[in-house]
Amino acid sequence: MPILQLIAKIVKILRSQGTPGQVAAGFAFGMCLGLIPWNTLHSILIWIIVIVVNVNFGAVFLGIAVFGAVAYIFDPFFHSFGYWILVDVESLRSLWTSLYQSPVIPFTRFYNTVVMGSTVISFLLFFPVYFGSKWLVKNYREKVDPHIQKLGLIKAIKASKIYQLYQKIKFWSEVV
Amino acid sequence: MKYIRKSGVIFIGVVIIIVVLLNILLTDRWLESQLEKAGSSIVGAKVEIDDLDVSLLNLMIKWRRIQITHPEHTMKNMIETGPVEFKLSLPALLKRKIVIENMQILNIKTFTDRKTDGRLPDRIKKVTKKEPSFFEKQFTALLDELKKAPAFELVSEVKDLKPKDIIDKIQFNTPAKIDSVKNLIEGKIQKYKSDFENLQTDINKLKEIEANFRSINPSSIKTVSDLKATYDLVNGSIKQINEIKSKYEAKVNEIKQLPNEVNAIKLEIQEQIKSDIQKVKDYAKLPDIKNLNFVKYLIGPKLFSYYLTYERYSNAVEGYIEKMQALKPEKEKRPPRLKGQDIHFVKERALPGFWLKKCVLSGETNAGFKIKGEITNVSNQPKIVGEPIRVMLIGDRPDKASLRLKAELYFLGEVSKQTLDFELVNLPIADFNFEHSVKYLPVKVENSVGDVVVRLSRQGKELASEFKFVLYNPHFVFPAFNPANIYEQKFSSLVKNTFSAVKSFDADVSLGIVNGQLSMSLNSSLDKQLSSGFREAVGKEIEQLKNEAESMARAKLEEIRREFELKIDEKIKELTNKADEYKNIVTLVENLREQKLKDLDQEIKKRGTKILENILRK
Repeated sequence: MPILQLIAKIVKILRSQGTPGQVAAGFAFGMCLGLIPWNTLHSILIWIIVIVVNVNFGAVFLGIAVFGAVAYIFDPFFHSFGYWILVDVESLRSLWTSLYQSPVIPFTRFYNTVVMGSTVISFLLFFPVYFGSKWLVKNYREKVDPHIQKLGLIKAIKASKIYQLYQKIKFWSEVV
Repeated sequence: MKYIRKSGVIFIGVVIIIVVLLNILLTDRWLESQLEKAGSSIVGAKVEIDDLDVSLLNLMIKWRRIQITHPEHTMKNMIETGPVEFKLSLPALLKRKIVIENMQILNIKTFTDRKTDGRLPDRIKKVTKKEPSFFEKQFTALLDELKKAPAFELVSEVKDLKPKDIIDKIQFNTPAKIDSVKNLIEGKIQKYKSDFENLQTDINKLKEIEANFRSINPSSIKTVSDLKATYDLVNGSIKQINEIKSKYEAKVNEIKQLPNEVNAIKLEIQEQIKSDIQKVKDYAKLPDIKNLNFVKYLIGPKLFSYYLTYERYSNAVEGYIEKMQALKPEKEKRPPRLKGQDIHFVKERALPGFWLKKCVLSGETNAGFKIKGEITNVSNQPKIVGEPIRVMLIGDRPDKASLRLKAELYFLGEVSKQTLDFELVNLPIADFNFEHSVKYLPVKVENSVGDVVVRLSRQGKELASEFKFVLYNPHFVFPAFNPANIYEQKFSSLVKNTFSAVKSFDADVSLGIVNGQLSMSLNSSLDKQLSSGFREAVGKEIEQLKNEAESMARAKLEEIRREFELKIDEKIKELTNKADEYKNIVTLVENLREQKLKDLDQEIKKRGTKILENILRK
């Protein structure tokens, strides 16, 4: 059932009123929020961006759900990767030392191996995820969705009284 | 503006207001729990702060009370303070660091009762528990040795102890050695015996050949050609005889080697007996009674448990600071899921994670000392601060007793250094327990006045320390026990008299660890008197016991050895007799064959001469 719910949610997001760019940005930001531990300054900043900037909320939560699970699985990798960046890359040591002594920056907890590992990975994945999901939404809406809407089963559901009643409720709830 | 969500901006505004309000209301609780958590992880037991109040406007923090649980006695507080107030540095807070310029801790009390158990949950304990340090291991070993106090066991055992008891208690290796070689040699002898039994068929053949040879009567053989045929037959039998002979000779050669083998084993057994006799000597060995350190056994256990306690705290602090200022911290193999590992970047002339620049202390200890002093530069990263942690404390009592403590913890260089000077002068002692396990020595001292001076310096894995302990007009209390024999009675009364006569009791301890070697000397003017008492009481008896046990053990082991050698020699003799028997048969057949060949040859020659004469006559 959770898989069916997830699929329904994905379809709903794909067919939502937001532009493909809004959906993709929401998903990419959701990915960052899912991967980066929540008790960091930059995680809070991403939340503020998500709330203030006009991105698709459903996509944000979908991103958090999917990449939250990914973060749990890949935690040992983030720890090792973060340790490598913080300790083994000698050329970055002076940068980390000065950031460690800078105002505000230590609240990002960049000196934590998991925070550093997950932050770098999510920043590296941000644009590929953004453009990838934008292409996916666009193609779904142009090529796949019209065919699905023409399916006999979908037409039958839409013609049913229950569906019409649901549309009315949806309309009035949006008005109110 | 199409990218900005108006409702989002309003929502963020509302959230910020709520967060600010909650912060004002909840910072106290949050900070309290954070400080308690950090303190508990350092101490290894609960640290509790009561009524923490944080003023965000002027960054003032105050609390009503702080309780630091004693990690060994978790129903007691190691330290309890009265109200404390201090100010945090704003620039440091912006850098996520806690820097306190000045703090005053008043009404300090030590060893107070707790209402609840201050033990940490096991989960936290597991994290903080570490492998004992090098020093801890050394002190623990020393403490164990002192607690055993083997020299004194002999006094109680000496009368009842018989040489036979010593021998019974010792696990001799000679019987086991003899058993194993006996089995080995007997196995070999058995094998040779069965080999000889297998040779029996050949021996029967030889006997048959012997019988055949004996049945040959050359004069009864009718023709010369028959004689020749018989001659060839007897001559040809050499092949069969030699075959049998070679088989038996190989076995005989092996048997001849056996006595050499047995002789080597006999030497091994002799060596084993020597080593077993040495065990008897070791068991009954008298301690070096000229230099017996009685005072070491008296105050050692208590003193070294103090050393051990100091070492545990010192090790915990050193381990924590080393971790906090490691340039390349070791990677944690499995940190808790989604928690990771914090890497702390150390830079000189910057700010450490925590820095209490100066803390003024005053209060009263559980011993009634009014104390005052200050602690400076307490930091979790002293390398950044560039100053060692210093503690200075003085205290006195109305009865003129005084205490002085000066400590410096230097974690700035590659190797950490610690120095500690502690003096306690004119301290009235009402009840001081020694905590040793020797029944002849006093268990405690009452109604005395004492001085204690401790000087300790530790650098890396090297330690130098001095401990001076003086008691004036001590009244020693002895344990109640019934002497098991006259020696115990004699020795215990000697000890009691010696201790009762002293006007002052002194102990000078010097303990050091250099290049991994622990050295310790413990001198007291009492030791000479007590050593002579010990010698007088039991010295002669123990020497006698040792000699008797040694000769008894020697007799017992020699008997086992003789019995073994006799048995083995007998079996080897039996075997060689058997071999000789076979040798005799072979020699007999060989000689008989030679004889028959000679007889046949003579008969052939005789008959040939006769035939020739007949031909010539004709």
